[in-house]
Amino acid sequence: MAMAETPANAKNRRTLTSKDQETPANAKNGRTLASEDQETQISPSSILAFPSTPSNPAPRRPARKLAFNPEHSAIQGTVSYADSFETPKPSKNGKRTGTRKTEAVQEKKGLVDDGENSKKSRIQKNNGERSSELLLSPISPDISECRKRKRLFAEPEASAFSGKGNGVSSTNGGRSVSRKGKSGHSVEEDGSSGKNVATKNGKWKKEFAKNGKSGKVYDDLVVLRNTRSSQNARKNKKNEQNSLKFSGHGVEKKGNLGLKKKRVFYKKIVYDGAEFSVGDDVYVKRRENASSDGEDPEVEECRVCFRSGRAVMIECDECLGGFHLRCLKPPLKEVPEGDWVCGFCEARKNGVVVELPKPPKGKKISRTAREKLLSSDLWAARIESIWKETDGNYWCKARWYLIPEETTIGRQPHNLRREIFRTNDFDDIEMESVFRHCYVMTPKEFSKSSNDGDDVFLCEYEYDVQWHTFKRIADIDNDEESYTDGDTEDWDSSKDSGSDMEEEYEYEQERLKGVSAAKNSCHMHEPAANSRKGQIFGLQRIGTKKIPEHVRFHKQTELERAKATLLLATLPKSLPCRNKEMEDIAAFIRGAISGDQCLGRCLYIHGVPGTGKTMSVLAVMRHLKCEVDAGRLQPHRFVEINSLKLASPENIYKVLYEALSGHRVGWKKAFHLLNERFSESNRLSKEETQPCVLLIDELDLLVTRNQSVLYNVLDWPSRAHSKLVVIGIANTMDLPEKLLPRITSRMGMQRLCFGPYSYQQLQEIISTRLKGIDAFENQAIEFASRKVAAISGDARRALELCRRAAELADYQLKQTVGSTNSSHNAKAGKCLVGMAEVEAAIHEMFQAPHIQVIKGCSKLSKIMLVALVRELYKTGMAETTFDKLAVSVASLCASHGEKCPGWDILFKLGCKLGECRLLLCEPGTRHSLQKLQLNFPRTVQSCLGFPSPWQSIVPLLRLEAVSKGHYVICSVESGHTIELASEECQS
Amino acid sequence: MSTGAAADAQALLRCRLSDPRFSLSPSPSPDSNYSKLKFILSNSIFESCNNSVLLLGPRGCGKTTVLELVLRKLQTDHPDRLSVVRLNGLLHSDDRCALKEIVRQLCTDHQLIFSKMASCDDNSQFMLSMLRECALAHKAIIFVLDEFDLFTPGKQRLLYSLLDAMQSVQSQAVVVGVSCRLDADQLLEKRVRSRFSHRKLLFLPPSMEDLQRLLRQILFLPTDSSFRHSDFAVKFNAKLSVIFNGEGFIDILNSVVGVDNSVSHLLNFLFCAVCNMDSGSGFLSLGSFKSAMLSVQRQLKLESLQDVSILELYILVCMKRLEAKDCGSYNFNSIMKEYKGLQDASQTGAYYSRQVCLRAFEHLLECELVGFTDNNRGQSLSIEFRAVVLLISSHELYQGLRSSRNCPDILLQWFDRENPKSHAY
Repeated sequence: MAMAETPANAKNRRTLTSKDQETPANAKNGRTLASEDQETQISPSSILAFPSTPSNPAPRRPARKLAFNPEHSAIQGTVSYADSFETPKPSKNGKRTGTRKTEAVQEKKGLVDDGENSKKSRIQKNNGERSSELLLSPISPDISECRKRKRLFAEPEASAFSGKGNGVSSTNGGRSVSRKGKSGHSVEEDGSSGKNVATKNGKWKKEFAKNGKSGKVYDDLVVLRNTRSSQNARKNKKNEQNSLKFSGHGVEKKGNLGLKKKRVFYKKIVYDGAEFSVGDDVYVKRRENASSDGEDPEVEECRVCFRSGRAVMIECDECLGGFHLRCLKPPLKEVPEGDWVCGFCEARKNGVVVELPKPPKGKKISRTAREKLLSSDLWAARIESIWKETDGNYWCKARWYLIPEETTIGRQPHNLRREIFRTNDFDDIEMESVFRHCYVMTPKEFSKSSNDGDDVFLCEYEYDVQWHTFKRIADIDNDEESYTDGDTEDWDSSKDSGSDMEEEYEYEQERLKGVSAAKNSCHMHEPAANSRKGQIFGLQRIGTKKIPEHVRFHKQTELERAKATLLLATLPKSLPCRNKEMEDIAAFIRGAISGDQCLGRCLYIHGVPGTGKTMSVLAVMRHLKCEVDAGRLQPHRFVEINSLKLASPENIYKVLYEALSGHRVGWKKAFHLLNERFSESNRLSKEETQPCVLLIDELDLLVTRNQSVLYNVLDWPSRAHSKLVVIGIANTMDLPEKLLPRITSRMGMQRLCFGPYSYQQLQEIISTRLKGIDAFENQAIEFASRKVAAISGDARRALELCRRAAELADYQLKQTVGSTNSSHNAKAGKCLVGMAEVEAAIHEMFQAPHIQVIKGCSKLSKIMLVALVRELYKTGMAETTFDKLAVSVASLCASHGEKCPGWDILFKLGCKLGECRLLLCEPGTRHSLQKLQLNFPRTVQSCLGFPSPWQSIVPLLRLEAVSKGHYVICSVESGHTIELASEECQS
Repeated sequence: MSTGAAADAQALLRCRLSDPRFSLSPSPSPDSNYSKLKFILSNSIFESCNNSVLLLGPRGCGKTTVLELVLRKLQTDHPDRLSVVRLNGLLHSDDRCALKEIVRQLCTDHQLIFSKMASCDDNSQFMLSMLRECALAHKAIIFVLDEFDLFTPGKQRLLYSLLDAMQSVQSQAVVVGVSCRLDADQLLEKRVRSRFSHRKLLFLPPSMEDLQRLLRQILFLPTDSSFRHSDFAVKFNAKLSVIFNGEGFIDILNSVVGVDNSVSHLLNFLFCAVCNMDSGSGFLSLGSFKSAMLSVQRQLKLESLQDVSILELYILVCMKRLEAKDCGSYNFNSIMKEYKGLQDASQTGAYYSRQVCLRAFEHLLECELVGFTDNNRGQSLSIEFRAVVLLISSHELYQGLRSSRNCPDILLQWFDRENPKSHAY
């Protein structure tokens, strides 16, 4: 949504920093390249730390010419394929070919399992595979885990809280199982990563050394590793066994070495001297044996002098060419801020034909990997999973990236040079064809990555190869997702690893083919888009055909930024004015959760709408989650339920049960199961569970006739060992008192009141949001806060008011800009939102519209209203029948020389005024007996502006009333809220 | 040739009058509701902010017209960036039904398969995920809720979930409510009101000058090449200007607009006038405007009274007399007694039997000139015993009697005797 920073349209200049030995100074403006060739001393830590972030770039490998002795032990690394084939990639023109593998691969490998093409068998194979070679210490079969996750939901508590202090809090047990397992593994892995890898590497490199290959570089490494490996080999075995046990899956099949040929999955391998793990982005070779494969220059050459050197280089944003600062005309002293375009590109833009300087004779122009990628000589992909085939080859599943030229719409002018698109196109490729690492970043990271090397790319959108549409990659905020997601299945399916998505994608393939072919026949087994299963399929289709330009080009003005921050949807960074209440809530939850015996408790929060109740509780829970992550607090579960979104009050059982266990059952069964779960007898048999914090919004909607739902929900916390903490939010202060006494005693013990905001608080809230943006006058903010505080004290109102004022100011600004076409720089200075705009916004938001409507209605309507007022004074009663009204109208018309309309017309007009609620009237079926009364009697008197002679009527009426000695106060105003009445008084 | 021109002209004018675009001025000023609404909606598309707007105003003032125009313009300017979901309070007031309709429209918009069997939970889940996906794809969804005030009875679950969805970052949508009730936002529950961003656009009937301008804009034929018979058009326009400036027309216009100055009423009137155009000469005359006025201002009760038979008139007068006697509620039997009494007194000899009178009475019930007062509680009783009351006033009855073709004088006498003052007006 509206991001505060505009990430990509101001591509940062890559600034060069002259780094020390770790990175050669010979980088282009900011792309610091690490090359091993130039490093003579490599500290072991830099080798053994295998980060995937570019802060420590992975060591580069030279071109690979490796051949292993195949009859060596289990570690079958890269078999040198003399006739290496092209990396299996189907056509990328958006057409999906049926098979995913090219024929060559299959023939070559002669793979027994045709599981590549049939998903099912592959999944079956994947299930529960453990390594047959413990030396390789597979980390965890991630695909099988997902499957297991789904099966293990019956035992959510199986995740042994091992006291490791990881403090992973999650919304469902199943997830925590896997995460535990994984984290357990990875912790092990990381801790002993050096050793583990060393083992592999050790063996690897042993081969190297044995074959006397280009291991010259690695000799010292080999030495290091060998020493370690021998010591740790035994330790590793133990570790692996422990870690395997630790995962607590219980579905371990050990000892099936060689019995069946199955795949072995890895999370991280070291291949060819570089480590690849799941989630890495890599270059993938496109052609086999290309002569240019061998070249992989570390640094780019200056376009002018064709030399790399140690001088500072700057990169052009257009052509991505490197120029020495001193080679530029005029030579620059330092790297300028912001975008910079080289002289050649500028000239080209202006239409001048430009001749680039030619390289000196005989010099071979070598291209960097990045250049090759951007000219379609290389591909980029993301590794989704890695495995080892039965014949010992290593394969990975790759998710392709596309450069803009390869999409159907082509390169748009607002695509950045370094932009690539993620696709949902997966393929299995051999590790052989993986070239080396590159780094694909989100816009936020990209804007910060000035110094991270040449292989940095931006990926903001996802491209759907089937539908040729773009979609922004969602910012997955883990906090929000894990807290607000009560539905396990959806979450699983959306966050599954590649194979699951692939399966569903393939399923959708077939489904779509069916759809296009014969719509009627396949309706049986196609999931509809609005059914649970079908949502994943259908929503892939949503996307735009091309990225809209304004997203890239438009720089937000101050006013627009102000508007964006004032949006109710944007979460503020902090919640001012509610610190005390948040402290109370946090204390309550901490007190309830920690301690050995989690005593279930209830907290009742009340306050008028818009005072920040739900927001405070969510903020506190986020904060507590951070504490849990840091290990200071016991992990707990958080479930948020909004009663107004439930179909019926009983459904809360269903939703709660689903959130706690992941199963979907009917509400009766859910109630039964929850009862069992929270009751005492069961507690002793099960292990420890996590305490659960339940937030119920709009509590008063759970009140049923016999109040049983509310009773049950509030009763569970009061049982021993239930570990349920309930926070209820409602608007009425005395809700507990209105309920049955047994509920009152359970609910009403602890209450927290959120009062309406005062004007200072509102002012503070608005100013905090607008911090750093200079778009509002302080007076205007104060005026708005005072107005809203006087009426309701609702923070939403205040924010909306200011946003509306900003919108009005923006509107006026854009109108003037559009109409006069003058340079609005002059006006930009005075585009502050001032009192006038706030005044106009207040008028629009608070003013009742009936005044204007009365003033603008037709003549006969006005006569009718006057006649009603007359009747009101005559009889003293607010209500009158149509009969009498018509007589009155007729007499008025007659006495003023106006033609009296027919009664039908009058009747129709009366109904129309009643529809607007200027009058209150009965339905028209009552005909002459219809009762009418004025809705705004006072306003009628004051705002009827008649042309004479009618102007005499109104004072006449007043006179009449005075002579009669009484004014009748109508009770018709009871339908209004307070604020409307105040407006009427003003009018 | 003039007949061809006349037919063409009539067709052209009729098209114009039926086309909503013509009632809008060609270049709306920045202050007009059109520009404001367009600004709000395009804000949501370009700046991806969520909004909710209410369009208020008396019926016939152009709320839906302007909204449709804005939507059409935005859809032509930015295709593929907009998705519209239309709900009507008359059809979809039930929450579940409305949610299903929203999902169905979203599915058809994006060519997804829709299942009728999906539960309410599934549907709301789908709506939220759809909002999220469209926000990621830079698509804005606009929810148009016609007859907004009819969504407010009940728990307002639909409104709550829609407006709550506006509050999350993961959606890019606008909720536009259209209502003719001026207090539509007061009908919202306090929770829902708090979430509603109180933007209101008020649509007022145009002023007299605007109406005059509109008149000329609609009725003047185009003299450029778009209309085939340009010389006919010139003559037509000249004649029309003469009529417009005449006194008679101004009176007619005043009387039409004096009743109801909304745009739709004026357009109705003009349509009648165009239909009454003289097909021979093909010109609009004052007469056509006059007849249009008469047809727009028909007195339907009077006409139905004129069609009523004499016996029925008798019954009506009897009922009137009973009411004047102030004897509380009465039913058919009392009417029969009165009728008998009258007949005995005047000896007209037109005394019909009870059965015949009952038939006449039932006919009056059907015409809704008389009606029951017991609110269907007396369904079990037969017609003769249920309390009835006159649904027309004595004034109307008097006028009906006077204008009736075959009303016997005796009736009028009876009427006058009972109500000496009622027909003074």
